Amino acid sequence: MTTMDVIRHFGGRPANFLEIGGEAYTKSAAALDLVLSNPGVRSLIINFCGAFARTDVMAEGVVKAWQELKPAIPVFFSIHGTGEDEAIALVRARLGIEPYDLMEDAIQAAVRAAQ
Amino acid sequence: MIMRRSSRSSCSASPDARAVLDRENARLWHAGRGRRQSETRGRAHCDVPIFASTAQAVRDTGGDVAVMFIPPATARKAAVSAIEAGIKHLVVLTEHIPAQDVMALHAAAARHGTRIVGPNTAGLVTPGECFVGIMPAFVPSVFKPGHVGVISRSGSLGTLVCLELTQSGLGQSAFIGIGGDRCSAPPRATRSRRLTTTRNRGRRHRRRNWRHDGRRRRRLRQDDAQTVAAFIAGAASLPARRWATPAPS
Repeated sequence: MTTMDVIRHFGGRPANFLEIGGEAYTKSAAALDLVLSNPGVRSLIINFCGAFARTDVMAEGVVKAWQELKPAIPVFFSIHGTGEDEAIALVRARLGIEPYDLMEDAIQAAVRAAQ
Repeated sequence: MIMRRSSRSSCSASPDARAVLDRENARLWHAGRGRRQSETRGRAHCDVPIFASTAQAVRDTGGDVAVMFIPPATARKAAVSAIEAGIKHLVVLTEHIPAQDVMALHAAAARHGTRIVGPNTAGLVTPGECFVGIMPAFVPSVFKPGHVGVISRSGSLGTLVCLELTQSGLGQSAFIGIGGDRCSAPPRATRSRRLTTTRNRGRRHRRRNWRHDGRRRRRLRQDDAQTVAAFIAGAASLPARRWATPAPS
């Protein structure tokens, strides 16, 4: 929810909001598939703030799905919380993308890329 | 209610639940609910001993804090048995406990002088000292000892707020997840007399005075001005999608 607020704060407009916390946190591949089915999506922000939900599990799902679907849009990561070291290393190694340290920076970059 | 290094905690859990208590700082045991006594007696899970019941665990260890990872249907029974066993602080993580059951367990807690955090709480964190629940308490980018008390209904937003505090160099004195359910227990969690104020970078923050050294403890005075900053997410959500928005008249 906060992610959407910050997107709007930086002048962007959320195309989709999809939360994969709670029981659904192992299903990030299906979540990505769903979000990318919207042709209005021009950039993607993946913001993990994992408490119970393990960010390394969520990142694994996203990375797998990303390599499978090969979307043409840019993606920006901000990963914090349980399992963040493993998750960040995974995104770096398998997608060659450096996750942002600050959520605000990741969102700002995603908004800029969509404009 | 502040988790202390000296707190002795129990974890009543489903058989497959993992223990998430800081085992270095707090003594932990499982009360093996849902299994026959003969199956659980003398066993261990994640190197933590299992007792047949919370009452037995309290008798054998003198524990005073319990955390529940119990499904909604049996949460009331588990909570009441923990309360009757003499548990002083009960952390109920379970979401979707029927409201009637929540009222019953609050009533039982009031009778026995037990403090309940939750239901549907992400738990409590005293950074660098103790932790009960499902927060990323051991992730150094999120939690660090500091002077800002954080009270949140949501675990994720609580994590975000603590992350922002740590990134700005402030840290937290304590995090309390008051629970997202309708009958959660925020008054007891937030009305503690152990509130104090402190100056930090020119701003006043509410903090929990759990770091007192035992000799000196400041009590909250009525004239102690406090700064309470509130954050409510959802400004960008569509009005029709907002939860519990009263219809315009």
